Amino acid sequence: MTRPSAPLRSLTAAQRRRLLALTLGGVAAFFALALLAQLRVLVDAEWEVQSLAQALRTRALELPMRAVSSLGTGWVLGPVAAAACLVVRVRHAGLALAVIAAGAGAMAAANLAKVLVIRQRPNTVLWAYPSAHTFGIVVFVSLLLYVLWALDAPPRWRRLTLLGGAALVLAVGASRLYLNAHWIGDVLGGLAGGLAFAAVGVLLIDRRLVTG
Amino acid sequence: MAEPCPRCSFPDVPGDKCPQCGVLVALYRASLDKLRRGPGGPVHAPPAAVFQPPASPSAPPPPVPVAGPPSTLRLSFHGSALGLFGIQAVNALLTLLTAGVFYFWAKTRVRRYLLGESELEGDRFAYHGSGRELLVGFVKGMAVFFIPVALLTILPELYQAPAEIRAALRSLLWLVGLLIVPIAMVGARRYRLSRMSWRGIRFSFRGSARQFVGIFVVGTILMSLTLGLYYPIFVTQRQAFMVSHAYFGSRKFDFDGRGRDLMRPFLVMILLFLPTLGLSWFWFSARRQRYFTDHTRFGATRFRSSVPGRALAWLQISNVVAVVVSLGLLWPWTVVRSVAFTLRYVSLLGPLELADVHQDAQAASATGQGLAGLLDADFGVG
Repeated sequence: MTRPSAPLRSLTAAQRRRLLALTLGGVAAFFALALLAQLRVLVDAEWEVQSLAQALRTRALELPMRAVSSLGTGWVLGPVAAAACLVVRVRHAGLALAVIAAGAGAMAAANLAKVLVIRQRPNTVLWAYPSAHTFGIVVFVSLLLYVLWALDAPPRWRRLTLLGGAALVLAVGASRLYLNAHWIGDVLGGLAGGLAFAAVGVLLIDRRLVTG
Repeated sequence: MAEPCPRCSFPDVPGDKCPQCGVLVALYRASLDKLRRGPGGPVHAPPAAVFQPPASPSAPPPPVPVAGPPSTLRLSFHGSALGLFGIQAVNALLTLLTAGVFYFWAKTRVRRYLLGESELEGDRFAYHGSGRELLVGFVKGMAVFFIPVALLTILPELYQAPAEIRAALRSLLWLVGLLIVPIAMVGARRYRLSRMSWRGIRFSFRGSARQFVGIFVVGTILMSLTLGLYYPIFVTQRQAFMVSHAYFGSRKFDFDGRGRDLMRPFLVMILLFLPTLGLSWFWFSARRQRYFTDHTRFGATRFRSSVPGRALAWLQISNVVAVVVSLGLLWPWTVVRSVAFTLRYVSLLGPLELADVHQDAQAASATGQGLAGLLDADFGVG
């Protein structure tokens, strides 16, 4: 016998408008940054940030930064998201499935977006823009926040997740700069793209599972 | 303050040289800085906190570090058909949306991808050209080429000029073409090399178009007079000109091949052309490629090619079949495998001494590239 799904909180009209604005803003920022990256407009600023990041490198930070950076990969995010969805499935199977689909879509979108801008990373390897690590962690944290909100988790949990998630996003973004793997523009592009993707994901999930 | 190696990420390099990969940190950083500059972009002195010692603004650009002990170096290609297919899909979409204007940016994106996926000694090559340069070059090329050709072909028809005048104008047109093709070839090479770099050091081409026009015109006439038998000498002269005027930073490439060395393989190819249904051409083509590569030097480094005729024949025939059968959809696959094929069979023998190589800025416009595109005299992939 299938366990009945717990009721999900629905977005208000104002919240939907705000998410739509966030989507449009994120998409606009993503493409604007892509254009600036392609036209090399940000080269000087990016180089300054990169120099600063490289000047901070020490032996002690090397391993922790690699570990933090790996948190943004599919190898870590995939299993963690799957485990989280198993927990969510107990409360709402449809939401768990939708979150898994959004996560898979995010991974595909982050990698597909890389064909927009053909530029080299600081270590000369191609596919710099956007940072898929940043994109992935932003989508993961955003969807986690939405799930907690939709399932009406205690506000203290949501606040803790918000703070922890923001710190995680910052840490992963910083680690990509530290490891000489991305320019600041790539990290910002990943942030903007990830936010836009997550906002679209939340709007679609709300429309399909709650409103519709 | 000890800093990490910018190339292999070895933390806390004790001195100037990385104990893991041997790169000179400050110089490597300066090279990376240049790598990111667009054509003619300024090269700033790096911040003292990162680069030690700080470069003096008046000092000449620093040399690139010596790249390890003498050995056989291989070029490698990391590109994939899927990656290029994605780029082409975006290119096709944007070219359609912009009624063809994006074509020049699309070309630049493909070149950037192909060079960015090519690697020597752990570092990728870089392409710095822009779509705008190609567009401007194309417009200038049209003005230089299209207007005279239009005048020489349309006006006599409009005014119904006598047959003698038309014949004379046709000859004049042929002469114009004979002059423009070599100019376009030199311009294209000058532009392309000036937009390529490795470890932040630009390539360049410093041959004079006038000299190449001479080689081209004389060679074309002698080709006609000898019914094509002059081809090996002609093509070797062209290669010698193109290679021996090419530079990496301040150091030039050298070519010591002689056309007569290819004469015998060429005659054998002609004799076997019909019995082998034309396949002997691929054998000769591979022989020519090996000969040209083997006679190219860069300082003490000699290039070596081991491309076999059979593999070249299979590559080129299967590429044509794949493109035709797939109606062009497999074009990215053919490009990627062609570049990978070319690099697979090329090696560099001897020490790659780069210590005295430094940046030597050369100006180049894209007009020759635009002309070459118009005349289909463009060479190379992408």
